[in-house]
Amino acid sequence: MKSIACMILLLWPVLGPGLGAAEQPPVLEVLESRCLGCHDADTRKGGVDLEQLLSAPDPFDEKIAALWEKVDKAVGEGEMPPKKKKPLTTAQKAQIAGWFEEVYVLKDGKEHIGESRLRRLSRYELINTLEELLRVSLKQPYVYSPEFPAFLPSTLETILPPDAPGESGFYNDSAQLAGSRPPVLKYSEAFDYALRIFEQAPAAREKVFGFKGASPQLTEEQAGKILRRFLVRAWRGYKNAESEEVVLSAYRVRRKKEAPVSSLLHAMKIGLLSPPFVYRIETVRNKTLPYRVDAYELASRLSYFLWASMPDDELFSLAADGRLLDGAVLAGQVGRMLKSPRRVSLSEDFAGQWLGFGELWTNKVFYRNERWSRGIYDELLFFFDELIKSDRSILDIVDSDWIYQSDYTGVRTAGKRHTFDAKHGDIFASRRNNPPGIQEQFYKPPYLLKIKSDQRGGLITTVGILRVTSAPEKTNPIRRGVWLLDRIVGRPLHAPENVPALSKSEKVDGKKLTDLADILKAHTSKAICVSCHKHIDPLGLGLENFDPFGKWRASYRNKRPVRSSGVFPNGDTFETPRRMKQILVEEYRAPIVKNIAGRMLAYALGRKLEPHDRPALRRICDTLEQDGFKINTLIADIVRSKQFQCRQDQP
Amino acid sequence: MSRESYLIPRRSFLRGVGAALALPSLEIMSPALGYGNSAAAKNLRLCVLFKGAGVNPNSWDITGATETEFTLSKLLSPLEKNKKDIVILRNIDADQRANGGHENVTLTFMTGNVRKSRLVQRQSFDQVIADHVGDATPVKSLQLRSDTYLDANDPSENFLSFGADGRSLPVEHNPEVVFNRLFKGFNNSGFRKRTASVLDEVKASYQSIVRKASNRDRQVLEHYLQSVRDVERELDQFKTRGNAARDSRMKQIQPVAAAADLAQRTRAMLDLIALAYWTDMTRVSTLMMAHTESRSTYDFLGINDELHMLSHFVRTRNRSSGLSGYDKINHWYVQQFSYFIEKLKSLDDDEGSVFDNSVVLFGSGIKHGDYHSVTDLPLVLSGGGGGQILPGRYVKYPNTPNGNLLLKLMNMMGVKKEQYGNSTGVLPGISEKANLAPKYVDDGSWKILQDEGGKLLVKGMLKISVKPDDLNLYLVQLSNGESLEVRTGFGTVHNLRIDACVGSVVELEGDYKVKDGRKVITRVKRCKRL
Repeated sequence: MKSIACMILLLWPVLGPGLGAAEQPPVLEVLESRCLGCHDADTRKGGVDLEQLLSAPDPFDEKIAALWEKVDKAVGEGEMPPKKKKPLTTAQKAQIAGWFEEVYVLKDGKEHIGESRLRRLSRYELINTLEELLRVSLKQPYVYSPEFPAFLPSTLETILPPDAPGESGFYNDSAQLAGSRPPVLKYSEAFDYALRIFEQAPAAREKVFGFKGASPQLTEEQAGKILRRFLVRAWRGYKNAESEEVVLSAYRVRRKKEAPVSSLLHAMKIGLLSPPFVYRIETVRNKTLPYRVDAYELASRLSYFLWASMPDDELFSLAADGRLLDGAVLAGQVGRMLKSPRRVSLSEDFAGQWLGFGELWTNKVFYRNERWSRGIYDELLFFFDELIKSDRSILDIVDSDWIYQSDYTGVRTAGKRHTFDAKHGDIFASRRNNPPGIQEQFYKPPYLLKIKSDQRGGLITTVGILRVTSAPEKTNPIRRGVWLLDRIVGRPLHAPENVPALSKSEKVDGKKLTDLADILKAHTSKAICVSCHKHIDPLGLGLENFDPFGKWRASYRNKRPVRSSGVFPNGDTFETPRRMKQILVEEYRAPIVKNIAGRMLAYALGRKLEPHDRPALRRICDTLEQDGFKINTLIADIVRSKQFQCRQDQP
Repeated sequence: MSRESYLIPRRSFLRGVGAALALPSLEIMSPALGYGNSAAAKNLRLCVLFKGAGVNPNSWDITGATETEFTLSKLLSPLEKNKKDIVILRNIDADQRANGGHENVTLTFMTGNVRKSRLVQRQSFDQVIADHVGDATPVKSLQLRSDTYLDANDPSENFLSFGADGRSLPVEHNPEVVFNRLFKGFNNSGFRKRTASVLDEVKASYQSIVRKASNRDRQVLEHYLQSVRDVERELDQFKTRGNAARDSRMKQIQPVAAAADLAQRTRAMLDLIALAYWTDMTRVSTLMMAHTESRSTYDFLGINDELHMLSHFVRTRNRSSGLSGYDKINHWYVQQFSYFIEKLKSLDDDEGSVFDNSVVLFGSGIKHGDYHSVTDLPLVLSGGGGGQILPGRYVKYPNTPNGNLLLKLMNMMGVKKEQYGNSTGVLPGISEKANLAPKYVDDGSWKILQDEGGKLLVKGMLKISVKPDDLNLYLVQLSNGESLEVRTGFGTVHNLRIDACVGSVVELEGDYKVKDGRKVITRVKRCKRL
C-alpha cells in the first residue's frame, strides 16, 4: 500500500482549502477502510483496482474519472459493498456521493455543461441537409416495388462512407466524428452528384436561384445576391465575409469562361466544401460557464435534433430577427416541427440506432424477403412515430394496448383497426414517389391496431426487435436479456470472458440438463455468474414464447413446452411476457425512464452524457413523471435544458 | 427479386485481369526519386490481411515439425500449394494487457500497443511505412474492409490503420468506389485539374474560417485541412507519377459484376489490392477481412451463425454450426489468403512478380477464439520481400513480442527504426534461417514434483487437447512419456491464463482426483510458465 500522506499532497488542490496536509481526506478513508480489502492493487476483485485512486495525481484523467464514476454508481445503486459485507453508513455513502458531486458534477460549486464540441454532420445528417438545401430528393424512394428493392442504398450512401458509432451509441457523436478524418474527396464527389441532380430539377433551381428556365444574363450583383442567400442557408447563419468573398470570387473567375449557371454551381460547391457546411460552427465567447447560443445556432441545434437536418425557411426567419430565442416561440416551433413529416429522423436515426432496429436495414442476416423485411422495419418505425404523433407515454415502448401491424410479417394480432392517421402527415410523404395506386398494389404500410392480446404490445415484442435480438435461426435468451437490460433498462453489460461454459451434456447435481431454462438456471447457480444473470435471465426468458421470427410459440420444435417464466431479482415472478412487461413498467420504471431520457439527451447533444449532466437529467425525469411520461414533454424538456441551449468553453 | 441481388446495384464494375495476364510484361518505371534504401528501389509492397476472432488452436497449430519439414494443419491446409511461399510464425505474442478481451486486440496487432485513449491511438505500423514509401505512388495507402460489421462499444476495434496524429483513417468498404478511386477519377487529367482548383478555393475559404475559430475548434478543423492536403497530394502524385507503362496496364483492367456478399466483397478487395500493386498505385494496404467481434454470418458456406458467437466455441459448441462452422470459416479465410498469394504471383513486376516484391502478413489479434489469449498469435508471413523473406519455413520462436515482428516488417520496407510498440528487438529468422534450437528440451525433469493429500505440483510441457469435442482438456506431458490430464473450469483457464501457457514448460499446482486409475487435475491453483 502506498503512503497516504503523499497522496493527500497530490489530491490537495482538488480537495480545496481548509484541509491540512496531515489530514486524511474523509472520502479516501472510506475507500481505504471499506473498499481496498477486495479492490486493492493486488486483489483487484472483479478487475477493479481502487488503490490507484488514492495516488492519482489528476482526478480528471480519463481512466481515474471513469473509475470514480464506477465507484459512485456501485455505491449509489447499492451494488457495493456486496450483500454479505457490512453496508456503508449513511455518512460514508454521503462522503462518496459528496466528493463525486463536488469534483465531477459541479464546477466551483455550480452546475455546468462541460466544454462544447465542434460537431461535424453525420452521413445521415449530411444527406438530409443537402436535400433541404438544394430542394431535391436524394434518398431511395420509400416504397416497395420490384424496380426499387427496399434495401438498395442511395447513390450518396454509396459515395459517402458510413460513420462509426460513437461512445454515445449514435452516429452523430461529435467526439467520434471529430476523431476520424473527414472524407473530403468523398464530400466533393457527393456534392458533384447532388448539384448535378439539382441542375436537372427546374423547380428546385427556380427556388434557389429565383429564375426560371434557361439561364438569363445575370449581372454580377444578381449572382452575388443568389450566392449570399444560398450561403446563409448552407452555412446555417454562420457569417464570415472573407470566406463569402472566396465563394463569390470563385463565381467571377469561372464566369469568365463559363455560363452563369455552371459558374453558380461551381461557387455553390466551394460553399459546400467549406467547413461551415460540413461542421456546425458556433460563435465562441470564451466563457467557462454556460452561455446561450445565438438564434441561428439554436435553430440549427433544434433542427438537427428533431429533423437531423438544417433549419427550414420558417426557422431561418425566426433566427434572423432573433425571435426564436423567446421561450414561447421556441416551444411553438418544437410543436410545429414535430408535426412535420421530417420528424421521421427521430424514428429512423434516433430510435433506429438506440433500439438497434436500423440493423434490420443494413445487416443481411435479418433479411427474409422484400415485403417481410420492409414490414417488420416499418412496424417499428410507425410505432415510434406514433409515440410522437399522438404524444404517448414513453413507457408504451415497454408495453402498450396498441401496436402497428403489417400484413407481411406472418404475425396477426386480433384488435380493432384504426385507419391511417393522417392528422400530422404521412412521415414518408416526400419519399413516396410512386403514384398511390401502383404503390399499394405492391406494399401496404402497417396500420394502427387497438389490442387486448396477452402476447403483443410495446416495442419489445414487435417482430423486428425479436428478430434483431435472435441468432439467425434460434432465439438467444441471453442476447434478448442483455438487449432489454442495456437498451431499455439502461444497464449495459459487457459479455464477461471468464464464465464457465455449460452445455446440455453436463449434469448439475446429478441431474441431466434438458431445456434452456434449466441450463441457464444451472449457470446462474454459480456465484460468479449470478451478479449479472439475475438481471439478464428473467428478461430474456420472458420472451422465449417468441421464436426468432417473432412468431408466438407454445412449444419448441422438439415438442418441449416453452416456459416464458422467471423471477426478478426482487422476487417478483411472472408466467407470461405480458406480465414480465408489466413488472418492468412497475418495478423498473425509474431506470427505464432515466435511460430513455438519457439516450435522447445524448442524441440531441451528439455526445455521451457526463456526470455534469446529472442534475439536468434528474430534472427532466422529474417533469416527465409529473406529466405522464409523455414523449413530447421529454423532447420539449431537452430543448429547454441548458445543455441544449448553451455553450461552454475551456479556459 | 432474388435474395442475393438486393444488395447489388445493377451496375457492373470489375473484371479481374484474367485477359491481361497473357500480355507481355510492361515495365513500370521505378520512381524518379532516389531512395537510399532497398525497399523503395525495389518497389516493395506491404499488405496486412487481418482476420479477427482468433482460431481454434487444435485446428490451427502444427505439431511435431522442424523449420523446413512440416505438415500443414487442418486450417492451414489450403496453403498446401503455397508451402514454399510462406513462413508460419509461432509464439509471437501481443501485449499481455490485451489478454482476454476484445477492446485491445486489433490495436495490439497493428500498433504493438494497447489503447491510448478512446479516440487517439499510436500510429499503426502500416502507416509508419506509408509515411516512408507512400510518396512514391499516387495513393499513399489503401484502407479496406470486406467485413462491414462495425462495433458501437469500442470504435477503435473498427480500424486497422491510425495515422501519425493517432486518428483512424477512413476505410473503404465498397469495391466499386475503390475501383473508381484507383482506376478512374484521378486518372483523368481534366478531372484532376478541376478538383485541384476547387481545393485551392476551399483552402482560401478555410483560412479565414479557421482564423476566427476557437483553439479547440481549430484542432478539429485542422483534420479537415489535413484531409484536403491528402487529396491534393494524391492529385499531385497522380499527375507526376503517371507514365505510359502504368496507363497501359490500367487499360487492361476492365469492369464487371459487383460484390453482393462477404465472399464476393473479399475477393474483389483482394483483386483490387493486387491490381493496385501491379499498377503501382499504392504500396501499402490493410484489409479488415473479419472484425474481431463480427456479427457477420457466412451463409455462402452454409453457416447461419455469427462469427463472433462461433468463435466462442468452448461455450457455443452445441450450436448448430458449432466448432465445425468456426473451423470452416477460418479455413475459408486461409483459402482467400492462398488465392491472394496466387494472384500476386500471376502479376509481373519489373523484376520478378509482384509477389516477389511484396510483404504480406495474414493473421489475427488473438489466438484462442474463446479465451482470447494473445500468446502465440496465428500468423503467416508471405511474399518475397524483395529477397528479404526466406520462405517455405515453419519457425517456432521462443515467446517474442509481436512488436519485434512489426519492426522487422518496417525494416524490410525501408523504415529505419529501432523500437516500436512492445518490441524488444528485431525479429530474426525471417530473411535467413532461424535455426532455433527447440526452447524446451526434455531433460528428464518433467515429472510430478510433489504429491500429497490429493494435491500435486507437476512440471512438464503444457498441451491443449487434440480431441475436437473435448475442449476444456489440457495435458501436461511428462518425461516418462505419460501425460497428466487437466480438466478445470472455464473460469480458471481464463483467470490463470492457462491457455496462454500452451506450448511451454510449466509448473502447475492443483488438486486432483483419481479416475480409472489415472490422476486427473480437476482444480488448478497456479500455472507458471518456466
